Amino acid sequence: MIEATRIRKAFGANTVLDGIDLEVGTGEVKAVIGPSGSGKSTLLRCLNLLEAPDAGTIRIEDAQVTAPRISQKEAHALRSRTAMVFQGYNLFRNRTALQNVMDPMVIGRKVPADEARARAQELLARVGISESTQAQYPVTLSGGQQQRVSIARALAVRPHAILLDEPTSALDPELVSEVLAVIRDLASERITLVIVTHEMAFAADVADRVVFIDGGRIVEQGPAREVIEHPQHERTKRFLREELGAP
Amino acid sequence: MDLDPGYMLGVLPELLPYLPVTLLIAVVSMVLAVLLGLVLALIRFARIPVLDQIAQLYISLFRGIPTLVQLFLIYYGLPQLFPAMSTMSALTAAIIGFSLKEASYLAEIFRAALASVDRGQYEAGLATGMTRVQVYRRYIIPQAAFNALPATGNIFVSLLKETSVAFTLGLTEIFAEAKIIASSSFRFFETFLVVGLVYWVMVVVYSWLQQRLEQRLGRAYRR
Repeated sequence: MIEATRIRKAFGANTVLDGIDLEVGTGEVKAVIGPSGSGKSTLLRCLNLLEAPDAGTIRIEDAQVTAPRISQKEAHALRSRTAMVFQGYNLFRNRTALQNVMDPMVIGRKVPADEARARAQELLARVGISESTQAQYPVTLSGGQQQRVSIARALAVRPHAILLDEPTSALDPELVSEVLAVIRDLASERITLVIVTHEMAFAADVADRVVFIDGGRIVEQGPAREVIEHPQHERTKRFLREELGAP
Repeated sequence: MDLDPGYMLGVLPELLPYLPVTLLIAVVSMVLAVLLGLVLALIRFARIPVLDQIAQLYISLFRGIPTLVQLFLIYYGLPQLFPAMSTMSALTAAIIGFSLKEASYLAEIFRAALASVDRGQYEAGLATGMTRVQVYRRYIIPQAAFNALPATGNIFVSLLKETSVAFTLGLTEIFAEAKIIASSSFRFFETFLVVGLVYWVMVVVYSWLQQRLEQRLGRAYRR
Protein backbone atom coordinates (compact mmCIF):
# COMPACT_ATOMS: atom_id res chain seq x y z
CA MET A 1 0.00 0.00 0.00
CA ILE A 2 1.14 3.51 -0.84
CA GLU A 3 0.36 6.54 1.25
CA ALA A 4 1.59 9.96 0.17
CA THR A 5 0.70 12.90 2.38
CA ARG A 6 0.84 16.61 1.63
CA ILE A 7 3.41 16.28 -1.17
CA ARG A 8 4.77 19.59 -2.35
CA LYS A 9 7.20 20.16 -5.16
CA ALA A 10 8.30 23.31 -6.93
CA PHE A 11 10.75 23.81 -9.78
CA GLY A 12 12.08 27.26 -9.03
CA ALA A 13 9.10 29.61 -8.72
CA ASN A 14 6.82 27.12 -10.43
CA THR A 15 4.80 25.08 -7.93
CA VAL A 16 4.07 21.73 -9.56
CA LEU A 17 2.58 19.82 -6.64
CA ASP A 18 0.68 21.86 -4.12
CA GLY A 19 0.05 19.56 -1.18
CA ILE A 20 -1.22 16.33 -2.70
CA ASP A 21 -2.55 13.36 -0.73
CA LEU A 22 -2.64 10.03 -2.50
CA GLU A 23 -3.55 6.63 -1.17
CA VAL A 24 -3.28 3.42 -3.16
CA GLY A 25 -4.46 0.22 -1.52
CA THR A 26 -2.81 -3.16 -2.05
CA GLY A 27 -4.07 -4.67 -5.30
CA GLU A 28 -5.65 -1.41 -6.35
CA VAL A 29 -5.23 0.01 -9.85
CA LYS A 30 -5.13 3.78 -9.71
CA ALA A 31 -5.11 5.98 -12.79
CA VAL A 32 -3.79 9.52 -12.51
CA ILE A 33 -5.15 11.80 -15.22
CA GLY A 34 -4.88 15.48 -15.94
CA PRO A 35 -3.73 18.03 -18.51
CA SER A 36 -0.10 18.33 -19.61
CA GLY A 37 1.87 20.15 -16.97
CA SER A 38 -0.66 19.36 -14.25
CA GLY A 39 2.00 17.62 -12.18
CA LYS A 40 0.83 14.03 -12.61
CA SER A 41 4.17 12.69 -13.81
CA THR A 42 5.99 14.64 -11.14
CA LEU A 43 3.71 13.11 -8.52
CA LEU A 44 4.55 9.62 -9.77
CA ARG A 45 8.27 10.43 -9.81
CA CYS A 46 8.04 11.76 -6.27
CA LEU A 47 6.67 8.40 -5.12
CA ASN A 48 10.00 6.70 -5.90
CA LEU A 49 12.04 9.84 -5.28
CA LEU A 50 13.31 10.28 -8.82
CA GLU A 51 12.17 13.79 -8.00
CA ALA A 52 12.88 14.89 -4.45
CA PRO A 53 9.71 16.36 -2.92
CA ASP A 54 10.12 19.65 -1.05
CA ALA A 55 7.73 18.52 1.67
CA GLY A 56 5.45 15.66 2.56
CA THR A 57 5.59 12.06 3.72
CA ILE A 58 5.63 8.94 1.58
CA ARG A 59 5.02 5.50 2.97
CA ILE A 60 5.19 2.34 0.88
CA GLU A 61 4.54 -0.77 2.96
CA ASP A 62 7.11 -0.66 5.77
CA ALA A 63 9.33 2.06 4.27
CA GLN A 64 8.68 5.69 5.05
CA VAL A 65 10.40 8.96 4.19
CA THR A 66 9.65 12.54 5.13
CA ALA A 67 10.84 15.32 2.83
CA PRO A 68 12.97 17.33 2.58
CA ARG A 69 15.44 15.37 4.69
CA ILE A 70 15.79 11.98 3.04
CA SER A 71 19.01 9.98 3.28
CA GLN A 72 20.40 7.90 0.39
CA LYS A 73 19.65 4.80 2.44
CA GLU A 74 16.01 5.73 3.05
CA ALA A 75 15.57 6.63 -0.62
CA HIS A 76 17.02 3.29 -1.68
CA ALA A 77 14.74 1.42 0.75
CA LEU A 78 11.67 3.21 -0.57
CA ARG A 79 12.63 2.68 -4.21
CA SER A 80 13.22 -1.01 -3.64
CA ARG A 81 9.54 -1.43 -2.86
CA THR A 82 8.34 -0.20 -6.23
CA ALA A 83 9.33 -0.51 -9.86
CA MET A 84 8.72 1.94 -12.68
CA VAL A 85 7.71 1.76 -16.31
CA PHE A 86 8.82 4.86 -18.21
CA GLN A 87 7.30 6.65 -21.17
CA GLY A 88 10.61 6.27 -23.03
CA TYR A 89 11.12 2.62 -21.88
CA ASN A 90 14.65 3.33 -20.60
CA LEU A 91 15.88 -0.19 -21.15
CA PHE A 92 19.59 -0.56 -20.38
CA ARG A 93 21.08 -0.02 -23.83
CA ASN A 94 24.21 -2.08 -23.27
CA ARG A 95 22.24 -5.15 -22.13
CA THR A 96 20.06 -7.64 -24.03
CA ALA A 97 16.35 -7.92 -23.34
CA LEU A 98 16.99 -10.95 -21.13
CA GLN A 99 19.81 -9.20 -19.24
CA ASN A 100 17.59 -6.17 -18.72
CA VAL A 101 15.16 -8.34 -16.79
CA MET A 102 17.85 -10.33 -14.97
CA ASP A 103 19.95 -7.36 -13.83
CA PRO A 104 17.60 -5.94 -11.20
CA MET A 105 17.46 -9.39 -9.61
CA VAL A 106 21.16 -10.27 -9.91
CA ILE A 107 22.69 -6.84 -9.26
CA GLY A 108 20.06 -5.22 -7.08
CA ARG A 109 18.85 -8.22 -5.05
CA LYS A 110 21.74 -10.70 -5.29
CA VAL A 111 19.53 -13.44 -6.74
CA PRO A 112 21.72 -16.27 -8.16
CA ALA A 113 22.10 -15.90 -11.94
CA ASP A 114 20.49 -19.25 -12.82
CA GLU A 115 17.43 -18.51 -10.77
CA ALA A 116 17.23 -14.97 -12.19
CA ARG A 117 17.57 -16.25 -15.75
CA ALA A 118 14.74 -18.74 -15.32
CA ARG A 119 12.47 -16.13 -13.82
CA ALA A 120 13.40 -13.55 -16.48
CA GLN A 121 12.62 -16.03 -19.27
CA GLU A 122 9.30 -16.80 -17.65
CA LEU A 123 8.39 -13.10 -17.28
CA LEU A 124 9.44 -12.29 -20.84
CA ALA A 125 7.36 -15.17 -22.18
CA ARG A 126 4.45 -13.83 -20.18
CA VAL A 127 4.67 -10.41 -21.87
CA GLY A 128 5.00 -12.11 -25.27
CA ILE A 129 8.73 -11.75 -25.94
CA SER A 130 9.98 -14.80 -27.82
CA GLU A 131 13.19 -16.60 -26.92
CA SER A 132 15.06 -15.28 -29.98
CA THR A 133 13.98 -11.71 -29.21
CA GLN A 134 15.22 -12.09 -25.62
CA ALA A 135 18.80 -12.27 -26.90
CA GLN A 136 18.48 -8.98 -28.80
CA TYR A 137 19.63 -5.54 -27.70
CA PRO A 138 16.98 -2.87 -27.06
CA VAL A 139 17.92 -0.80 -30.12
CA THR A 140 16.74 -3.63 -32.39
CA LEU A 141 13.32 -3.94 -30.73
CA SER A 142 10.11 -2.12 -31.62
CA GLY A 143 8.71 0.38 -29.13
CA GLY A 144 5.99 -2.05 -28.13
CA GLN A 145 8.52 -4.82 -27.54
CA GLN A 146 10.75 -2.50 -25.53
CA GLN A 147 7.88 -1.42 -23.33
CA ARG A 148 6.82 -5.03 -22.74
CA VAL A 149 10.41 -5.90 -21.76
CA SER A 150 10.40 -2.95 -19.39
CA ILE A 151 7.20 -4.25 -17.79
CA ALA A 152 8.87 -7.65 -17.35
CA ARG A 153 11.84 -5.85 -15.81
CA ALA A 154 9.51 -4.08 -13.39
CA LEU A 155 7.92 -7.38 -12.38
CA ALA A 156 11.33 -9.01 -11.88
CA VAL A 157 11.93 -7.45 -8.48
CA ARG A 158 8.48 -8.48 -7.14
CA PRO A 159 7.62 -4.88 -6.25
CA HIS A 160 4.79 -3.93 -3.92
CA ALA A 161 3.57 -1.60 -6.65
CA ILE A 162 4.43 -0.67 -10.22
CA LEU A 163 4.44 2.98 -11.21
CA LEU A 164 3.67 3.50 -14.91
CA ASP A 165 4.48 6.92 -16.35
CA GLU A 166 2.49 7.36 -19.59
CA PRO A 167 3.51 3.87 -20.72
CA THR A 168 1.93 4.15 -24.18
CA SER A 169 2.49 7.83 -25.01
CA ALA A 170 5.68 7.28 -26.99
CA LEU A 171 4.33 4.34 -28.98
CA ASP A 172 3.09 4.29 -32.55
CA PRO A 173 -0.71 3.95 -32.48
CA GLU A 174 -0.68 0.37 -33.80
CA LEU A 175 1.62 -0.72 -30.93
CA VAL A 176 -0.46 0.77 -28.10
CA SER A 177 -2.87 -2.13 -27.79
CA GLU A 178 -0.19 -4.80 -27.26
CA VAL A 179 1.18 -2.86 -24.28
CA LEU A 180 -2.26 -2.06 -22.87
CA ALA A 181 -3.08 -5.78 -23.06
CA VAL A 182 -0.10 -6.58 -20.85
CA ILE A 183 -1.06 -3.88 -18.33
CA ARG A 184 -4.64 -5.17 -18.33
CA ASP A 185 -3.22 -8.59 -17.56
CA LEU A 186 -1.29 -7.21 -14.55
CA ALA A 187 -4.42 -5.46 -13.30
CA SER A 188 -6.42 -8.66 -13.48
CA GLU A 189 -3.82 -10.29 -11.23
CA ARG A 190 -4.34 -7.62 -8.62
CA ILE A 191 -0.83 -6.19 -8.83
CA THR A 192 -0.86 -2.71 -7.33
CA LEU A 193 -0.52 -0.21 -10.17
CA VAL A 194 -0.35 3.56 -10.35
CA ILE A 195 -0.74 4.64 -13.97
CA VAL A 196 -0.32 8.14 -15.32
CA THR A 197 -2.14 7.98 -18.63
CA HIS A 198 -3.94 9.81 -21.42
CA GLU A 199 -5.83 6.67 -22.42
CA MET A 200 -9.20 7.58 -20.91
CA ALA A 201 -11.11 4.58 -22.21
CA PHE A 202 -8.41 2.29 -20.87
CA ALA A 203 -8.43 4.06 -17.48
CA ALA A 204 -12.20 3.76 -17.24
CA ASP A 205 -12.01 0.11 -18.11
CA VAL A 206 -9.01 -1.11 -16.11
CA ALA A 207 -8.51 1.26 -13.18
CA ASP A 208 -10.41 0.88 -9.93
CA ARG A 209 -10.09 4.52 -9.07
CA VAL A 210 -9.12 7.67 -10.92
CA VAL A 211 -7.49 10.82 -9.62
CA PHE A 212 -7.82 14.00 -11.69
CA ILE A 213 -5.01 16.49 -11.08
CA ASP A 214 -4.87 20.06 -12.32
CA GLY A 215 -2.53 22.85 -11.27
CA GLY A 216 -0.74 20.64 -8.78
CA ARG A 217 -3.87 19.78 -6.81
CA ILE A 218 -6.32 16.92 -6.81
CA VAL A 219 -9.53 18.28 -8.28
CA GLU A 220 -11.60 15.16 -8.26
CA GLN A 221 -11.23 11.47 -7.45
CA GLY A 222 -13.40 8.42 -7.22
CA PRO A 223 -14.31 5.13 -8.87
CA ALA A 224 -12.90 5.13 -12.40
CA ARG A 225 -16.10 4.87 -14.39
CA GLU A 226 -17.87 7.41 -12.26
CA VAL A 227 -15.17 10.08 -12.63
CA ILE A 228 -14.65 9.54 -16.36
CA GLU A 229 -18.30 9.09 -17.35
CA HIS A 230 -19.93 11.43 -14.84
CA PRO A 231 -17.39 14.03 -13.75
CA GLN A 232 -18.64 16.45 -11.12
CA HIS A 233 -16.24 19.35 -11.43
CA GLU A 234 -16.26 21.81 -14.30
CA ARG A 235 -12.48 21.43 -14.86
CA THR A 236 -12.74 17.65 -15.03
CA LYS A 237 -15.62 17.92 -17.50
CA ARG A 238 -13.70 20.31 -19.70
CA PHE A 239 -10.56 18.15 -19.59
CA LEU A 240 -12.44 14.98 -20.47
CA ARG A 241 -14.34 16.72 -23.28
CA GLU A 242 -11.02 17.77 -24.82
CA GLU A 243 -9.38 14.43 -24.18
CA LEU A 244 -12.21 12.31 -25.55
CA GLY A 245 -12.99 14.71 -28.36
CA ALA A 246 -16.69 14.37 -27.51
CA PRO A 247 -19.05 17.29 -28.17
CA MET B 1 70.70 11.52 -54.43
CA ASP B 2 72.48 9.60 -51.75
CA LEU B 3 69.88 7.26 -50.21
CA ASP B 4 70.97 3.85 -48.93
CA PRO B 5 68.05 1.37 -48.71
CA GLY B 6 70.38 -1.39 -47.51
CA TYR B 7 71.41 0.77 -44.55
CA MET B 8 67.75 1.24 -43.68
CA LEU B 9 67.18 -2.51 -43.50
CA GLY B 10 70.28 -2.87 -41.35
CA VAL B 11 69.32 -0.15 -38.88
CA LEU B 12 65.89 -1.60 -38.16
CA PRO B 13 67.14 -4.54 -36.02
CA GLU B 14 69.27 -2.09 -34.06
CA LEU B 15 66.25 0.07 -33.24
CA LEU B 16 63.70 -2.62 -32.42
CA PRO B 17 65.23 -3.62 -29.03
CA TYR B 18 64.21 -0.13 -27.82
CA LEU B 19 60.63 -0.50 -28.94
CA PRO B 20 59.55 -2.13 -25.63
CA VAL B 21 60.67 1.01 -23.74
CA THR B 22 58.49 3.19 -25.97
CA LEU B 23 55.55 0.84 -25.61
CA LEU B 24 56.05 0.55 -21.85
CA ILE B 25 55.94 4.33 -21.40
CA ALA B 26 52.91 4.69 -23.67
CA VAL B 27 50.84 1.81 -22.29
CA VAL B 28 51.56 2.33 -18.59
CA SER B 29 51.02 6.10 -18.88
CA MET B 30 47.76 5.50 -20.74
CA VAL B 31 46.41 3.06 -18.15
CA LEU B 32 47.23 5.45 -15.30
CA ALA B 33 45.84 8.41 -17.27
CA VAL B 34 42.56 6.57 -17.93
CA LEU B 35 42.15 5.81 -14.22
CA LEU B 36 42.98 9.35 -13.08
CA GLY B 37 40.96 10.85 -15.94
CA LEU B 38 37.93 8.81 -14.94
CA VAL B 39 38.18 9.94 -11.32
CA LEU B 40 38.49 13.57 -12.44
CA ALA B 41 35.60 13.19 -14.89
CA LEU B 42 33.32 11.66 -12.23
CA ILE B 43 34.22 14.44 -9.80
CA ARG B 44 33.43 17.06 -12.42
CA PHE B 45 30.31 15.25 -13.66
CA ALA B 46 28.86 14.88 -10.17
CA ARG B 47 29.95 18.47 -9.37
CA ILE B 48 31.35 17.44 -6.00
CA PRO B 49 32.05 20.73 -4.20
CA VAL B 50 35.71 21.70 -3.57
CA LEU B 51 36.97 18.58 -5.42
CA ASP B 52 35.34 19.93 -8.58
CA GLN B 53 37.26 23.19 -8.30
CA ILE B 54 40.50 21.31 -7.63
CA ALA B 55 39.84 19.10 -10.68
CA GLN B 56 39.17 22.16 -12.84
CA LEU B 57 42.43 23.79 -11.75
CA TYR B 58 44.31 20.55 -12.35
CA ILE B 59 42.89 20.16 -15.85
CA SER B 60 43.57 23.78 -16.69
CA LEU B 61 47.20 23.56 -15.52
CA PHE B 62 48.11 20.27 -17.17
CA ARG B 63 46.46 21.19 -20.45
CA GLY B 64 48.02 24.62 -20.35
CA ILE B 65 51.69 23.81 -19.67
CA PRO B 66 53.78 22.31 -22.50
CA THR B 67 54.57 18.63 -22.13
CA LEU B 68 58.29 19.20 -22.22
CA VAL B 69 58.08 21.79 -19.44
CA GLN B 70 56.01 19.34 -17.34
CA LEU B 71 58.57 16.60 -17.82
CA PHE B 72 61.43 18.94 -16.85
CA LEU B 73 59.54 20.15 -13.79
CA ILE B 74 59.07 16.57 -12.63
CA TYR B 75 62.47 15.14 -13.47
CA TYR B 76 64.78 18.10 -12.88
CA GLY B 77 62.61 20.34 -10.73
CA LEU B 78 61.00 18.17 -8.05
CA PRO B 79 64.25 16.65 -6.69
CA GLN B 80 65.37 20.20 -5.89
CA LEU B 81 62.37 20.60 -3.58
CA PHE B 82 62.26 17.02 -2.35
CA PRO B 83 65.77 15.52 -2.23
CA ALA B 84 64.26 12.04 -1.72
CA MET B 85 63.02 12.22 -5.31
CA SER B 86 66.52 12.55 -6.75
CA THR B 87 66.65 8.76 -7.05
CA MET B 88 63.65 8.84 -9.40
CA SER B 89 64.53 7.23 -12.74
CA ALA B 90 63.93 8.99 -16.04
CA LEU B 91 61.49 6.22 -16.94
CA THR B 92 59.42 6.83 -13.82
CA ALA B 93 59.48 10.58 -14.40
CA ALA B 94 58.37 10.14 -18.01
CA ILE B 95 55.50 7.84 -17.02
CA ILE B 96 54.37 10.22 -14.26
CA GLY B 97 54.60 13.20 -16.60
CA PHE B 98 52.68 11.63 -19.47
CA SER B 99 50.06 10.14 -17.13
CA LEU B 100 49.34 13.47 -15.46
CA LYS B 101 49.13 15.32 -18.75
CA GLU B 102 46.95 12.83 -20.64
CA ALA B 103 44.65 12.48 -17.62
CA SER B 104 43.74 16.15 -17.98
CA TYR B 105 42.71 15.64 -21.61
CA LEU B 106 40.91 12.38 -20.91
CA ALA B 107 38.97 13.93 -18.02
CA GLU B 108 37.25 16.29 -20.42
CA ILE B 109 36.59 13.53 -22.97
CA PHE B 110 35.14 11.26 -20.27
CA ARG B 111 33.02 14.04 -18.80
CA ALA B 112 31.42 14.70 -22.18
CA ALA B 113 30.91 10.96 -22.67
CA LEU B 114 29.21 10.61 -19.28
CA ALA B 115 26.95 13.53 -20.15
CA SER B 116 26.05 11.86 -23.44
CA VAL B 117 24.45 8.88 -21.68
CA ASP B 118 20.68 9.34 -21.46
CA ARG B 119 19.57 10.26 -17.95
CA GLY B 120 16.80 7.68 -18.31
CA GLN B 121 19.42 4.95 -17.87
CA TYR B 122 20.28 6.32 -14.44
CA GLU B 123 16.64 6.65 -13.45
CA ALA B 124 15.80 3.15 -14.66
CA GLY B 125 18.60 1.71 -12.55
CA LEU B 126 17.54 3.55 -9.41
CA ALA B 127 13.88 2.75 -10.00
CA THR B 128 14.63 -0.98 -10.14
CA GLY B 129 16.31 -0.82 -6.75
CA MET B 130 19.98 -0.49 -7.66
CA THR B 131 22.38 1.84 -5.89
CA ARG B 132 24.00 4.79 -7.64
CA VAL B 133 27.38 3.03 -7.66
CA GLN B 134 25.83 -0.07 -9.29
CA VAL B 135 24.10 2.05 -11.93
CA TYR B 136 27.31 3.90 -12.80
CA ARG B 137 29.36 0.73 -12.91
CA ARG B 138 26.96 -1.36 -14.96
CA TYR B 139 25.34 1.10 -17.34
CA ILE B 140 26.60 4.68 -17.29
CA ILE B 141 30.35 4.02 -17.45
CA PRO B 142 30.15 1.18 -20.03
CA GLN B 143 27.92 3.26 -22.33
CA ALA B 144 30.09 6.34 -21.83
CA ALA B 145 33.20 4.24 -22.55
CA PHE B 146 31.84 3.29 -25.94
CA ASN B 147 31.09 6.93 -26.73
CA ALA B 148 34.54 7.98 -25.54
CA LEU B 149 36.45 5.32 -27.47
CA PRO B 150 37.28 7.25 -30.69
CA ALA B 151 38.52 10.35 -28.84
CA THR B 152 40.41 8.23 -26.29
CA GLY B 153 42.09 6.39 -29.15
CA ASN B 154 43.25 9.71 -30.55
CA ILE B 155 44.86 10.54 -27.22
CA PHE B 156 46.68 7.21 -27.20
CA VAL B 157 47.94 7.63 -30.76
CA SER B 158 49.27 11.06 -29.93
CA LEU B 159 50.84 9.77 -26.69
CA LEU B 160 52.52 6.90 -28.52
CA LYS B 161 54.39 9.41 -30.67
CA GLU B 162 54.92 11.95 -27.93
CA THR B 163 56.93 9.43 -25.91
CA SER B 164 59.77 10.44 -28.25
CA VAL B 165 60.32 13.61 -26.22
CA ALA B 166 61.37 11.39 -23.30
CA PHE B 167 64.86 11.39 -24.83
CA THR B 168 65.24 14.86 -23.31
CA LEU B 169 65.31 13.20 -19.87
CA GLY B 170 68.21 11.04 -21.02
CA LEU B 171 65.92 8.05 -21.48
CA THR B 172 66.89 5.76 -24.34
CA GLU B 173 63.72 4.80 -26.08
CA ILE B 174 63.49 4.14 -29.79
CA PHE B 175 63.90 7.74 -30.95
CA ALA B 176 66.84 8.41 -28.64
CA GLU B 177 68.56 5.31 -30.02
CA ALA B 178 67.88 6.53 -33.56
CA LYS B 179 69.59 9.83 -32.73
CA ILE B 180 72.61 7.96 -31.36
CA ILE B 181 72.87 5.75 -34.43
CA ALA B 182 72.37 8.62 -36.86
CA SER B 183 75.01 10.80 -35.27
CA SER B 184 77.63 8.07 -35.62
CA SER B 185 76.70 6.89 -39.14
CA PHE B 186 75.74 10.34 -40.48
CA ARG B 187 72.81 8.59 -42.20
CA PHE B 188 70.28 11.00 -40.68
CA PHE B 189 67.57 10.73 -43.29
CA GLU B 190 67.52 6.92 -43.45
CA THR B 191 67.66 6.47 -39.68
CA PHE B 192 64.94 8.98 -38.89
CA LEU B 193 62.79 7.70 -41.74
CA VAL B 194 63.02 4.16 -40.34
CA VAL B 195 62.16 5.29 -36.84
CA GLY B 196 59.27 7.34 -38.25
CA LEU B 197 57.96 4.30 -40.08
CA VAL B 198 58.19 2.22 -36.90
CA TYR B 199 55.90 4.73 -35.15
CA TRP B 200 53.59 4.68 -38.16
CA VAL B 201 53.32 0.88 -38.07
CA MET B 202 52.54 0.99 -34.34
CA VAL B 203 49.76 3.50 -34.97
CA VAL B 204 48.35 1.42 -37.83
CA VAL B 205 48.32 -1.72 -35.69
CA TYR B 206 46.73 0.13 -32.79
CA SER B 207 44.08 1.68 -35.05
CA TRP B 208 43.17 -1.78 -36.32
CA LEU B 209 42.84 -3.07 -32.75
CA GLN B 210 40.66 -0.12 -31.81
CA GLN B 211 38.44 -0.66 -34.82
CA ARG B 212 37.88 -4.26 -33.76
CA LEU B 213 37.08 -3.14 -30.22
CA GLU B 214 34.58 -0.59 -31.53
CA GLN B 215 32.94 -3.29 -33.61
CA ARG B 216 32.68 -5.56 -30.61
CA LEU B 217 31.39 -2.97 -28.14
CA GLY B 218 29.13 -1.50 -30.81
CA ARG B 219 27.08 -4.68 -31.19
CA ALA B 220 24.59 -3.40 -28.62
CA TYR B 221 23.99 -0.13 -30.45
CA ARG B 222 23.58 -1.28 -34.06
CA ARG B 223 20.17 -1.93 -35.53
